[in-house]
Order: sequence, then C-alpha cells, then structure tokens
Amino acid sequence: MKNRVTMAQLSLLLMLVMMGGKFLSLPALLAAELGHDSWLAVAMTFLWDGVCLAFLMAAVRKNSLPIDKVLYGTLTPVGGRAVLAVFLVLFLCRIIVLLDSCYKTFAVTFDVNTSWILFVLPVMAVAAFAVHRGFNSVARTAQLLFAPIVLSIIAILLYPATQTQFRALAPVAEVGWKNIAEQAFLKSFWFSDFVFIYFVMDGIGKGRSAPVFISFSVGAAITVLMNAVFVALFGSLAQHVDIAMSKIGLFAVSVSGVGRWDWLTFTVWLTSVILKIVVFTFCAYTCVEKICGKTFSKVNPFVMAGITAATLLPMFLSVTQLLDTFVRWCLVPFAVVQYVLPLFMPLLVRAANKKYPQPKEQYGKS
Amino acid sequence: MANLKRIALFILIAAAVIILSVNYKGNDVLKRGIVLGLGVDGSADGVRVTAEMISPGNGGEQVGTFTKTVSANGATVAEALQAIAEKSGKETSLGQCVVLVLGEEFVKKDFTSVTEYFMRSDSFKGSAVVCCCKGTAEQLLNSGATASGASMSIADGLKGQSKDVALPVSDMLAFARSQQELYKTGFLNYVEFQQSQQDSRQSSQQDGAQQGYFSCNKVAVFRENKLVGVLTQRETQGFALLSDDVAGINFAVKEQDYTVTLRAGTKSVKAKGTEQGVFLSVHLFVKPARTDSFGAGGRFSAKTDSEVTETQKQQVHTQALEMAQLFLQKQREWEFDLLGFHELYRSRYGSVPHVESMTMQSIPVEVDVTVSEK
Amino acid sequence: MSLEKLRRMYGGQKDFVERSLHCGSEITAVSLESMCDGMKISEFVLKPLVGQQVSGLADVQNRLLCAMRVHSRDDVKKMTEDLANGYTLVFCEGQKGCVAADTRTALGRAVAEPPTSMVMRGPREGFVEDVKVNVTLLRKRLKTDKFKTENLSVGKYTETAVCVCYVQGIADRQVVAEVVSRLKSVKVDGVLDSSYLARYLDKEKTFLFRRVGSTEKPDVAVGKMLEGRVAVLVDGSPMALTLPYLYVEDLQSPGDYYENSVVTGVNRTLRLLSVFLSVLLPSLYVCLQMYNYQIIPLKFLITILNATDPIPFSPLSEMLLVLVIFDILREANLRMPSAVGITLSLVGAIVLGDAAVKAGLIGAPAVMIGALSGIGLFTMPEDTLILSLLRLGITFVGGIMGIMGVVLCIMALMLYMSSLSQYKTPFLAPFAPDVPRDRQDAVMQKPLPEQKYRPKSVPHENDRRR
Repeated sequence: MKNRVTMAQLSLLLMLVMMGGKFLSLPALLAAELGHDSWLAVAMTFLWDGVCLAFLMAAVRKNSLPIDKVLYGTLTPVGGRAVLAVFLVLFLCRIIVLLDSCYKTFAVTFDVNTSWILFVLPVMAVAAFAVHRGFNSVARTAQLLFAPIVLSIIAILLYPATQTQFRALAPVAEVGWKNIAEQAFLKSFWFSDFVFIYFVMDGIGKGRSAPVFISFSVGAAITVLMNAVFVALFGSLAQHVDIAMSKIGLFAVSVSGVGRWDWLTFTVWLTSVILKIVVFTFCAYTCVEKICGKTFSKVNPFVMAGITAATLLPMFLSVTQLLDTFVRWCLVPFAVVQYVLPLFMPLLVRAANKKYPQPKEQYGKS
Repeated sequence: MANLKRIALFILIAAAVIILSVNYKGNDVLKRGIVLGLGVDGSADGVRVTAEMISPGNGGEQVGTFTKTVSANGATVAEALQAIAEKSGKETSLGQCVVLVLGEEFVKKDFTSVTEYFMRSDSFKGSAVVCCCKGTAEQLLNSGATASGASMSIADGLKGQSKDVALPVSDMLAFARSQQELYKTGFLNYVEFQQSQQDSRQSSQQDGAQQGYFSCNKVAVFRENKLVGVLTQRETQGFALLSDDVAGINFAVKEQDYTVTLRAGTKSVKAKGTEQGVFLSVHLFVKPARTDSFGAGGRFSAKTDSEVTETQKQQVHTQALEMAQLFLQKQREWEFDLLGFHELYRSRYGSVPHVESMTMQSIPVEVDVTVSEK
Repeated sequence: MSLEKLRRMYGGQKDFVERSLHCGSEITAVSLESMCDGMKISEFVLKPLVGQQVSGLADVQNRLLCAMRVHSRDDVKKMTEDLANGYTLVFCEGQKGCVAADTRTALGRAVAEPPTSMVMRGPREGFVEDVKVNVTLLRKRLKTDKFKTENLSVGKYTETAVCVCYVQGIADRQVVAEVVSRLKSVKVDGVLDSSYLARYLDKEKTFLFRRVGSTEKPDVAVGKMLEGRVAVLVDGSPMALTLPYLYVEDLQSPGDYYENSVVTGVNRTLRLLSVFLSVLLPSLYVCLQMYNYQIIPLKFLITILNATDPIPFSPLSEMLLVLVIFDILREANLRMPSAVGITLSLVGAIVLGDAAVKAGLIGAPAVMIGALSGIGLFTMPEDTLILSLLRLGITFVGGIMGIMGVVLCIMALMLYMSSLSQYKTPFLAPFAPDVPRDRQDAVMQKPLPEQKYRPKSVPHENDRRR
C-alpha cells in the first residue's frame, strides 16, 4: 500500500496545504472587495471549512472503502462519476491557479523571465514523480518539510506582526456581514483544502483525529493572522499588491546592508505551494483513475500528459479571465462537492460500508 | 532497440536542457548595474534620475565599495532608467537600492507618478529609505561624503534612528499609504549636505568631491504628493515626542551652575479621539545621559537611586510641552495630520464623510505630559 | 574410485601432494600444499598413523582425534571443496570415501584498527578477511547462546562462505528468513567482497544511496545487532553488512557512542549541516549570482562583484569547473601512494586554486565555495561519491532554472528518499515517518542509560533493552 498515510502525517500535510497558496494573490483579491475587513471573510470560510472537516473525519473513521466505491455504491455509478468529474475540474482549476501564483512569484519576485510552458513542465514532472512514488512519500515529505516551512512562515510574519498597528482593522465589519459572507462564498473556491482527504480515505491509519483538528486550527489561525497583518500594514494599497507574501517579507529586512534574505525563507515557504500542487495533481490523477475504473500500476503517461495539458490552459486564456468566467460559472457545483458533500459523507460512508462489508485493515504502524 | 531508447532519452534530455537554459533568462549579476541609491529631480522634459551604481574593482585585488553616479533625463522614471542603462552599458537593478532621494524643487509639484512607479516596482525594496533633500538630488548623490558613497551614508544615517536619536523615519510604503488615505498627508526625512570646514583644506579622497556629512534632523511634510513645507528641528522634535514608536529624546536641563542632559529612552504615548477632541497623553521615562553611547544602560539595566530631581523633571515637562505645542501649532497652520488623528476617528466611527472632512483647525487637541524617572 | 578421480582432476598441479603409508593396509594422504600447514599434517595426520595397525576408515577417524576437525566424506565434489579449504584427505585402500582432517594454514593479516573508521575513543579492533576470525570477534562480544549464525556458501566458482549473524530473540525472524532466502537465491559465479552481496540484498534497484549498512568494526556490528539488525559476514571481506539500513545511520560515527551525548548531538548536527552545505552551497551560489542576486547581502555582493568581474566564464561553468577539478583531485588522491598524495594535494591547492584565481580564470569566491562544499562531503565518508554527484546535478539545474530548480530538485529527492523502504523499514525513519521514540539516537542523542527501548523503526522482537 503505497498510498497509506498515518493520522499524524495527514494533520501535518493538511496544515501545509492550507497555508500553501493562500498568501499569494488571494489576500489582495479579498482586500480589493472588502478592504480592512477581508480577514473576516477568511476566518468565516475557515469556520465552515472546520465544520465540513469534522463531518468528513467522522466519515473517515468509520470507512474502509475508497471514494469511488462510496460514491458508486450510494449515488449510482453515473452520479458518482459526475461527482468525481466535478472534483477533477476543481483540482485542475486549483492547480492552474496555484501554478499561476507560483509563476508570478517566481518570475516577478525572483527577477527571472521564463515561458509558462517551461515553468510548468518541471513542476508537473515532480508532481508526476510523486504520483509514481505514491501518496505515502508525499505525506512523508510533508513531515520532513514541516518544520522548515513553519519556521520560514514565522520568520516572515514575526517582524511585520510586531510592527503592525492592528488599530487599522477597526471598526470591525465596516462593510457589513452580508458583504463579507457574500465574498466568503465567492472566494470559497480557494478554500476547502481538506478535499484531498477524500482520495486517501481508505488508506488513513487508525488513530485519534484530534491532531487533524489542532493542525487545522493552527493553520487557519496563521492564515487569518497573515491576512490581518497584510491588510493592516498595506491599508488601501493592499488591493494593488500582486503577491502578498513577498511584499510582507520585505519588512523582515530592516537593515539596509542585509540582502533580501527574506526571499530565501520565502523560497522555503514556496515548497509548501509545490507540495500543494503535488497533492492536487495526485488527487486529479486518482479522479481519472476512478472515473476510468482502472488502477494503473505505474504512472499512466497519457493521464499525466492530459493533466499537464490542462495546466497549459493559461497560455491561451489569462488566469484572471479563467477565474472570472469559468470558476464563477462552476462555483455552485464546486461548492456542492467542497462544502455540501462532506456533510453527507457520514451517511454515504455508512450506506456504502453496509453494501460492501470489508474488514478494515490496521494501519498506522510503520 | 535499447540503444535507440537511450539515444532518444539523451536527445530528449539535451533538448530539455537547452530549451530550459534558453528560456530561463536570468540576468547575470555582472551584466547588471547594481543601483545603491536613486535621486529624482525635475527636468524640462520630465524627470532627471541620478543613479549611484556599484562599479566593480579591478581584478579582485581591491576591497571596498566603488561607486559611480550616472544621470539621465526622461519623461518618466522608467525612461530615465532606460537612458541610464544605455549610458552605463548595464541594465539597472533596483533590488539593492537602499535610498531614494527626491529633490526639493521637484517635489513642490505633484510627483504621484514617481511614487506609483516605485510602489509598483517589484524589485525596488519597499523598506528602502525615501527622503527629500535640499537642492537637487543629483548634487546630493554626487557630494561623495564618504568612501562608500553617498547612498550608503544616508541610508545608514537614517535607518534605525527612531530609537537612537528620536527621528521619525519614513519608508516608501508608509509614505505612499499616507498620500492615499484619509487626510492624505505624510512626511519624508529632509537631508542636507553640510560641508565641513576643516576637511575642505585636507586633500580629498575623490577628486572634486566635497568633504562633509549629511544632516538629517528635519522632516518635510507632504500633502497629496506635494511638498507643504519643512519643519524646523524643534518642530521635528515635537513630532518625535508625540509619535508612539519614536524614543530617545534628549533634554538639556539647567541646575544652578551646570547643565544636565536627561534622556527619555522610553516613553508611552496614548491618543484618544473623543467628541471633545483629541487627548494625547505622553509619559516620559527619563534618566541622566551619562555615557556617550546612546543605547548604554538599556531596558535591562539595574535601577539606580533617584538622581533626577523634581525641578529637573519640571524643566523636562515644560520643554516637552513647548515642543509639542510648537508642532501642533504648525500642524494647524499648514493643515496636515502626521499623527493620524483622522485615523483615530475612523477606527471609531468608520469611514464616514464627517470624519473625512474634519479640518485640523476643528479638532481641539489637549496634550498632557508626565515625567518620571526610569 | 575417488582417489583416482582426484588424481585425474589435480594431475599436473605441483601443490597436489600425496603421501602413502603402510599401516596394516595402504593409506594415502592427499593435500594441497599451498593451503596446508606442513606441521599440522605431520603432527595431526601422519604421526598418529605411522607404525599403527589400521583396520579401516572408521579407525583412521578415531586416531586422528588430535586434529581440530575431522569428518568423513563420500562425495568427490565435497572432497575438492575440503582440499581447497586446506583439509588433508586420508584414503584407505579398498574402501570408499575418505577422512578429512583440518590442516589449514593460518593465512591473512592480524586483527588491527581499520583504516576507514578510526576513532578517538573506543575499541580499535577491526574485522579481517577471514570469516571465522570475524565470527570470533563477534562472539567475543556476545557471550550468549542467543547469538546465532547461519552459514551459507555463495558463488559458483568461489564457494565463498557467508555467515548471517543475529541475536535470537531480538532480531525479527521474518527479516532473518528474508535475508537468508535472498542470499540463497543469489546466482553468481563469484563473490569477492561483501559489497557484491549488498546489491543482491537490496530489494528495490536503487541508483542512488546505499541501502545496506557496512562496518569494519565488530563493536559497531554488535551494537547494530542488539538493535535488531542482522549482520552478514563474507569470507574474504573485512566489511560486515548490516540490515535493515536507515539513512540516519550515515550520520552516526562509531565514536559517538563513547562520547558525551551532548557532544555527540553537536557533532551530528554539524555533520548534517555540512552535508546540506556541501550539496546546496554551490548551486545556491550559482543561482544567486545568475538570477537572484538581490538575496545576497550588499557588502557580500560587492565583494563578489569585485572578484568575479574579470572572469571569462559564466557563473555556472565556473562553478562546474571548480567542482569537477575538485573531484579529479579527490580521485587522484585516492589512487596515489600516500607519500605522493600530499604532494598532489599541495599541487592541487596551490597551483590550480591560487594560480587560477590570480590568472583571473576562476573567481576566489567560487574556489572557496567549491572547497568548503568539498570538505563538507567528507563528513559522511560513506556517501561522498553520491553526494558529489548530487551536488553536480543540483548545481547544473540551479544554473539553468535558478532557485526554483534547486527547490524542485530538493522536492524530487525528498519524495524519492521518503518512498524508499525495505525489510519493513522506511529509509528516512525516524524523521519520515516520524517515530518520536527513535529520535533518542538520531541527530540528538539521549544519554545511554535513558535509551531504554530498541529503535522502533528497525523490526525486532524484544522491545526493552535489559
């Protein structure tokens, strides 16, 4: 079983995946709509994320079946495949958005000019390699990278957080809770990073799920703090900032003689974005596998090529356009699988496990 | 067959490497002109930009910073930088730029396009020192006060001063924000080049360069990207006194036949915006400045017996109040809001038109200074 | 008849010696002179027979009691094996089979301190080429009946004796069985060193990283066996193999266990740091210079600018040149006799380094970084070559793609390493997967009295150390 994962690994991976990618262009997008209240939208979405995660984890604990069997057994094979197809599109969109943010960061912040295709190919090659080595190795890599990434985030956030005048965030909810909730829904596409759990749910080891919730809370807290610091620090300029993290990083450097070493810590943090791309590619690949009803022994080059081809879409369509039209159009189906499906997961899992009774394997010891 | 596979793989890898290396266009550090400091002045056709750039030493045997300044005109900053690149033969890189100097004459007119350019630039460090100077920026950067170049001296002189000599320091982000939000007023440090008398007789290190130092104890006030005026040293001290994050003001108090210097190493400023007006309470913790080092006996030093007398405290109180009033008077006169009074009301009432339209004249300010020994 | 067959097989071989005696019946003793000790033959074989009346082979066997080992043989193939091992075969006319008596000569070197793992403190004994001596060295330290060995012979022509050693009740039975079955299934014409077998013991064909531990020190081997590992000794090799193997073992030096645990922790951290430095420093230097020079502190940047201004090469080719030169020097130094080696290092350091910098071919920072990274490699002597290769590769990618390339390389490497696992042991344990208990002796070390349990990552049967 190269796709098994322990509870501890799952919780660390969840935290990294939650934080990866949210410090790039999302804060500026929210700030443009909500101004200094944008952190509230983030907190609100995380709150709902937490509820969904609780339901999903409750389902996972009683489950011994892979996602396709759960869905096909309860929603009929056609319905199940439709849900998986929505997931596939969701993952592809998120991979594209992440790659785009990563590309912008890399090309703009690091002062390197490169074409999209040649930026994407090496990243997708690493993702394909990860699919080949199995989810277990991704989870273990997350364990290895966890400490450096968290340290880098602390290094980047610590100094600006002490310099920030949080008074700038007052008065709370000036734009109105309705607006905040609306924006939280419109930007919900960026959240619900726990969805990758669906695709490894049959390989999760037994254990207490408390660490998952703890790491979720810590990850959410750091992300909200980061948003609050960003908006408070940049004020009305926030909406014009492309990549939040790189601008915030500036303030960690106060002495003129020191170079931009914040970019080094920034690079360490960037690994979590790549890790997120890797996780989502794995999920997209699994989606295709499940839809086809086949399990490929090695990485199927055609499936991988298909996913990579989809990531080349921004060469023809700008990502802003993609977000504006495509994602808005798909927002409701996405929201259904992101935020409604988890609520029904315990029921679906129960029904499916009754239909296909299986002795649950004992994982967790390795 | 196996051979064919190997050849195909080799070609694939070789092609990938070549394409990648062609596509990832980095600019080798030697091909770039590393800019240490930038000066912006006005010119007939737009702006005149002066860049102080590193010019590498010869053959690695020499150690030290060697700089040269290049100036060029252009309609915009970008154009002028392009012209500088053409002149110097190297593409300019702003990533290491530590200071941006704006000439006094230039900033009397609206210079929004300049601030916007640097705010949007991804390579320009947002934490670089931005200052305004007497005369033109070109003259200032060419003054060659020290061996390591003018930019480094100015940056070193300004950075971290808020805790040492009670000088508020502004950076690009703070300035750009201040020109956009609410009352649209902000400040930049005002730098003057002071020629030193004794040194002018000695042979200078760089031919033609004057010897001297950069004096930066004043603050220039801006409103909507236009210079309003320059505060005097005393008014700047008043500004420093009322700013929360600035400390280290020295007070000279007279005893019967000698003078004692008291240093307010720490202080607390509390501002409250009420219906009746703004209430500022400043509490100064003073102690005798008896060493020549500013930072000596810092936060964790042992408590000494009371040596500051009540009369000394009284004198500090009077002086502080006087400085504060001087500054507040100027604030009302020139209609600017460096202490963020409007922000106080905004965080209380939200961005309502009433808050935005308040004039400084209409906000009564009450200052209370208390002094205690640390 | 067997004797006739042997004569035909060894006919013409000068060291094939026959000695006939008349002791009631015709007795013939044959041996390979080169493998035997003449004194042993006359003392243990000939003397007990001369002038006696011998009734048959069984009688011969009884009389040869003075010899260390005596057994009877019927099979010609086994007889040739015995001859090759230094046995003297005694034939009795008219009877089938023979009696083989141990008359081996003591070949090989004495037990000495191994040159590859010198320690400041701790035992200085090292394994030798003789497997029996090596087993003795282990048994000397494990005075228990639980110390078990399984003897095999591997290699069609070499018939090399291989000994699988473990402590019963500690080592996992399945792991022992798997090691033995793997060794039994080895089909090869000859095994000249334990490293031959290391490749067969590795489950997955890996192109990077060693997956089987090796040690020249019996104390280390015993230490590992007490943690549940299996040791494989091979005749003719002074290196014992230990299985299963964790990557973290590379960080551990035999001397660590005889030092204060704090000192050990600091030393291991330094080793880890130097590995990171040696692998990443050249690539970082190159990509910082080529793409991301804003990261470099200003004053350092000015120094680099001053030094690299006249260099005709691009930063990437400059660094690759330095690294390749370093590797050439290292390789040449290994092959040279030690006396010449010193000269070579001097020539390498002074002529190549200094002259190249003075001539303006290579910048001084590049030489410094190449040297620093080169020295860092040697803190993990076992992995020098692999790390050196990785260093070249990452530098190359870094030069092409900048810091993004370096990040991707590290990610790929981590994914690869963390996916490796064999004999129920993940390669990167106790870090990935995280095994908190095993961190007692990973980078930081708990004082020995506090290490009450055996490492969880290595399969074992008896958890508590006591």
